[in-house]
Amino acid sequence: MTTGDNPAHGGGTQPKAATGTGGPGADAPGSVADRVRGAFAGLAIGDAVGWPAGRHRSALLAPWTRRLGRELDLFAEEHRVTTLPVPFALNQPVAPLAMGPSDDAEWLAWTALGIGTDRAEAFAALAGRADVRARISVRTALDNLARGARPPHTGHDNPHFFDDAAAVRAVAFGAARPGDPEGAADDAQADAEVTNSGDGVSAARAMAAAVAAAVGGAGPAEALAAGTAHLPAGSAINAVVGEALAEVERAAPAQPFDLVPALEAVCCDHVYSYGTAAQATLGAAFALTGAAGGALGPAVSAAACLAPLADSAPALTGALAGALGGHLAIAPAWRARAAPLAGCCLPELAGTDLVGVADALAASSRSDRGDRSDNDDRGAGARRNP
Amino acid sequence: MRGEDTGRAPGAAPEAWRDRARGALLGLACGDALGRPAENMTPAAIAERWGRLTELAVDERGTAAGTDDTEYSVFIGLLLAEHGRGLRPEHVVAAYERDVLTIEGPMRGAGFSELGTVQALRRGLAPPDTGRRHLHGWSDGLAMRAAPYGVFAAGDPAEAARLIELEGQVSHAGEGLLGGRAVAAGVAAAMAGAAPREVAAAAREQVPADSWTGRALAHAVRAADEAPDTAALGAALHAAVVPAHYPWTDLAPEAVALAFGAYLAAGGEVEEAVVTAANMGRDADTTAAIAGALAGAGRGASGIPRRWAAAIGPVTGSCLPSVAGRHVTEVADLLVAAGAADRAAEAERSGAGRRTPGG
Repeated sequence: MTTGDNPAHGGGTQPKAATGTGGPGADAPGSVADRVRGAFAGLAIGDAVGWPAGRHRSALLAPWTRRLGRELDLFAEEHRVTTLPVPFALNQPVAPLAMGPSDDAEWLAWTALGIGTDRAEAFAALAGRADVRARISVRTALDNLARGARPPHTGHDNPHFFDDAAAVRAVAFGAARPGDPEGAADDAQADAEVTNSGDGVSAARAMAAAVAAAVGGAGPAEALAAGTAHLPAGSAINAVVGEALAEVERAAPAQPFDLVPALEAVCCDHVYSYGTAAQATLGAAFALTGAAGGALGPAVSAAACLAPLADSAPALTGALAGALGGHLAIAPAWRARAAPLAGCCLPELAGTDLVGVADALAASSRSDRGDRSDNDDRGAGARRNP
Repeated sequence: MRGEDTGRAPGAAPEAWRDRARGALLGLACGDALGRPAENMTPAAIAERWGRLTELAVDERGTAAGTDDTEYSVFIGLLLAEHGRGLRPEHVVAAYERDVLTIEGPMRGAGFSELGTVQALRRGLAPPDTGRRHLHGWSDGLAMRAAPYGVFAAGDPAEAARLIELEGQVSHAGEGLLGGRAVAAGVAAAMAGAAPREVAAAAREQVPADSWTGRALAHAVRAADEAPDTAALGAALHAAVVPAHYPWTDLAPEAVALAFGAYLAAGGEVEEAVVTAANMGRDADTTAAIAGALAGAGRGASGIPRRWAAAIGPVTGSCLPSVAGRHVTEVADLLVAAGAADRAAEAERSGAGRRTPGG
């Protein structure tokens, strides 16, 4: 199944909308619409290949399967066996355990479907729900909203203010503003400040700007530079991303895989119990996208090798590379794995076609720009450099 | 809740400074020791196990061991006594390189911020990048060792806050620095005889109101004013300042708010402040140590329960081998002497006989 070509998976958002107002459609390789699809599908593919995806998706199985999994972990510890448990189904459906998108793809879709709405209100609507799964930053922000706090306090008074939850969502704001990195960064910041602060917000600005440049036609170096321009001097994220990119320079013309040891030393801190710090995952994503010259396969597969960062570094990498190369440049077998969404974090998204969501976003941002000025789209097109 | 102690110190005679200094660091050590077994427990689990936890756990010789809170306070206290107002981040880095990076094997008792700092130093970074590069800038590891600054800069909360920030930037950033500033300033005010409400005000003055720590301290003051008993105080503080979906208990804004809430609700009385903090759980050794330092600075060594003070021996060096054998009262005396020498030198420099702080 090549999703996005199949309206049956549209989940209310018809891929056909991609051929709406102005500009070439998603069937034109390297078109804005193709690159927007590429950003979304690339994120979902990276999300799917990281080892945590199976754990996230196993949330769709009965809780006792995960309890038994924890007991098997204990068994391995107590019996000193090196045969480690993996997510398993026993008498449950096995479909959720097939390789596919998980948390990051769902939060991106949720963001894209709500683009243009007040971000604090959008999150507040989730605050009372018991069926939502999210990162610590987002869970804490929902609690802060429920306590009556408002952004930016909701993201600031937050133990994981530095994580990359907002950087993942920022892909939507970048995709919505092709060729407008500054505008995309500002949009992403308004969203990011609900759940993050400091480096977490800077990462969202950088990711939105890089994706906006890429879908607008920029090449890898230009897109990454558009992103790093939003990392403040003196911040940890500026230092780590800068060091990671310096490793790429030093190793050139190395393959992304060759950079894994150096990036492990620069990006992974091994002190803390979680690997979603934006400084680490954005550093890996920018460096590997640069080292791969924007090629999705080499970049994403190398990102998945950084095990502590594998929840989101491959997803961010995939979003950047997909935005640069477009959807049609992705192998059909991988395109098929980008959808449908599982609903493991936001159950209402189960079965949603992420590419359809991307098409709807591309269509609505195109008509927005058409309303403002016809020149916007032409400007983006003129910078296209497939 | 109890009324506040408004009795100021009778002047600032050296003996009074020394008594308060010993009270601050003994209070810290007692809080550390009392809270140690309750660390990371919920108030309900503490109540189930001890009823109300009021006695220090002692070994066969009757000695109560502290943890990183006491040992890092001794480490920093000795460094501050050595350098005084001239303390520089480079002195701190040199001390880490001498006493912390040389620890072989596990860094027992160390929190994320200590190991994160060690890793940053091993990367060859310099302050303030050493405190920014790791993720634990918000840790309560600075607030836990803030009392020596208040002891040294007694009566001068702004100076205590300035000094701790010089040290803190080696290992912390953002809210972790603010937590350190608040506790250092609070102890400095309490050393000069300020009543608990004034102590809290002095602490808040050294922290931006528009910060996580500033908001958490505002919650602490309100909860201490409004809660009818310690159970209600704990419930109100947990609801206001404890993140429900974060599994660690090391956040400075949370720890500082719990400690100040307990100290205020106890009206500055040492045993009540320490016991209240320890029984609220979370990072109980650190919150009780901070509450004990604030209350001990206000009431002096004579305000420490005698049975507790008798159990505090020299530190064992279980976290920091370099401080093994040092006693908190010895460090207190060194800090008082250093503070007095520093003020005398300052007076000589200015030639105008600057007023003794708190005098």
